[in-house]
Amino acid sequence: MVTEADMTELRSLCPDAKQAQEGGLRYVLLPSLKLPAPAEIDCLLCVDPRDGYAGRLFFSQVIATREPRNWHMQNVRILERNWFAFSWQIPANLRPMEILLTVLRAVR
Amino acid sequence: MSIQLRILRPFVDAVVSDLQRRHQFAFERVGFIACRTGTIDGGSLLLPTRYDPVLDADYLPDDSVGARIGSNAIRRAMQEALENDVTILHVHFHGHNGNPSMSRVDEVESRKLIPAFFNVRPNRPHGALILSRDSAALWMWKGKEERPVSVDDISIVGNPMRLAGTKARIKTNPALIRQSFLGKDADPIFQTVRVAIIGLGGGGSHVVQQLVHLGIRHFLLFDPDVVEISNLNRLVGATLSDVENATKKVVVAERYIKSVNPNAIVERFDKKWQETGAAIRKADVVFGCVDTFLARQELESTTQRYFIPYIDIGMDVTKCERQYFMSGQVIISMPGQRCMKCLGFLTDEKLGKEAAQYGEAGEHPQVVWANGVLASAAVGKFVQLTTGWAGADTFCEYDSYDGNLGRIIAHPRLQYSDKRCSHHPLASAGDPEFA
Repeated sequence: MVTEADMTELRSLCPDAKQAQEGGLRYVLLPSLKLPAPAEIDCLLCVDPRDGYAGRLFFSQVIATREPRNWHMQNVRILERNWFAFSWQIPANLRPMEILLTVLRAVR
Repeated sequence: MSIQLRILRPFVDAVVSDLQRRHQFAFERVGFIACRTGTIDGGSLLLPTRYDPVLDADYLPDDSVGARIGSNAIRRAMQEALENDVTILHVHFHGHNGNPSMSRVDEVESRKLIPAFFNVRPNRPHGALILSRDSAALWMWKGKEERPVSVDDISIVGNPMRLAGTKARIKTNPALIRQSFLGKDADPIFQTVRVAIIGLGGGGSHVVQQLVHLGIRHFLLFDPDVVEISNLNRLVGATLSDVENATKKVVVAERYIKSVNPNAIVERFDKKWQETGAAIRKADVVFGCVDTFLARQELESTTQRYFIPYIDIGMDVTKCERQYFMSGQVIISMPGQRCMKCLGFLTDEKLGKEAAQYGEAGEHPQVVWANGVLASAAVGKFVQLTTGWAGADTFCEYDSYDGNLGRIIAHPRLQYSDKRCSHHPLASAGDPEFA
């Protein structure tokens, strides 16, 4: 499970953050996460390494970004919902909040 | 709203084993089963994940019933329902073969006991389950004040499976007389079992072909693609005019099925299975004939979650120096047992490499005879799984195909992997819950 300290940190940005596991990986659902555009979107943070990435952020839809991103994962089924992700490498061993902020920087 | 019970065979065996223990004075034992739930079209799936036997000290002397239990046992079951938001089934055992029925005493006692669970979990159905040596019967209450209803749709998932309605009065099909050695229930099983096939290319089209000849009647077909010229080297049933007309692969498969069995039920989805909501969940068995490791991981997560056996096939050709090597696999991922990660087939390294190619499988070499060999092996496992005709000890979860030698053997990794799965715990069954 994601530690309570990490969940508390994530809830400072997304008060309704909740966690679940699937396939041995830990995920945090971030409902209605505030982004520049669209204003709010559901996101799913994978805090464990998967697909060759140290952590991943999935979006409930493809979103517009200033720089074009490689949305190589489309309609990926995780926890019985479809998600989208762009390729974005992050350093290993980051805290969940650090993973989130690192990927979100690429969204601006 | 319909209710369907899917219960794992090892779980049933453990419950029956416990219920058959003698008690100091009670005539029989009882227990409580906690079920997670899954949403299916027009109803819900009950997925038993935890069994709590009633402790010896919680039985009360009472000659008028088989077992009288005290308030501590009931309170513990109510606590389980409250804390984990689960459905509770009261369970006991009738020591005979065939469908068990509720005795007058069972009925009277259940009517007193079961409504109590609605005090703590009014949002879930609760019920009474009776197990026999080879069958089960279930009565469910949907509300505290409602009358119980008998639930017929009960599947025991394991080797072999036991599907609801397979001992019904279905006439034996004369077309299947040459396979009668599969057992007297084989025909009813094949007419009842709902089979999903994901991917209808080289592997999937062979699977469809064999299943319909076998007598399978209910198909769920998933594939978003149309027939292209490069498919004609292996896609069973496809023609040149399908290429010219850009016919959907699901249409080709349905056409083949209906040409053999006009009465077949074909649910056709010309899109990715992920885009069809909960459709896949009603399948009793899923065949995965997909190209990528990611697709396999996604399929296995869903099938494990909803207690559906998943049969995976795939092939590849690699070049080493001047020699080509053809390999493949047939894997059965049984819910609650070793998954494809446990078996070392799905690895982070493979998934990472694939993601680095942006999720594309690329133009993998595919040939008709290897597709056919793997599909045949997979259908053979399916027949064993659904009928048990060859005996329980013949079940192999992971076969490896050497296409150069034309040989299928049990994969050596079977000896070394842990038999318990740590990736898909039973507690994660059913619709996802976030905490």
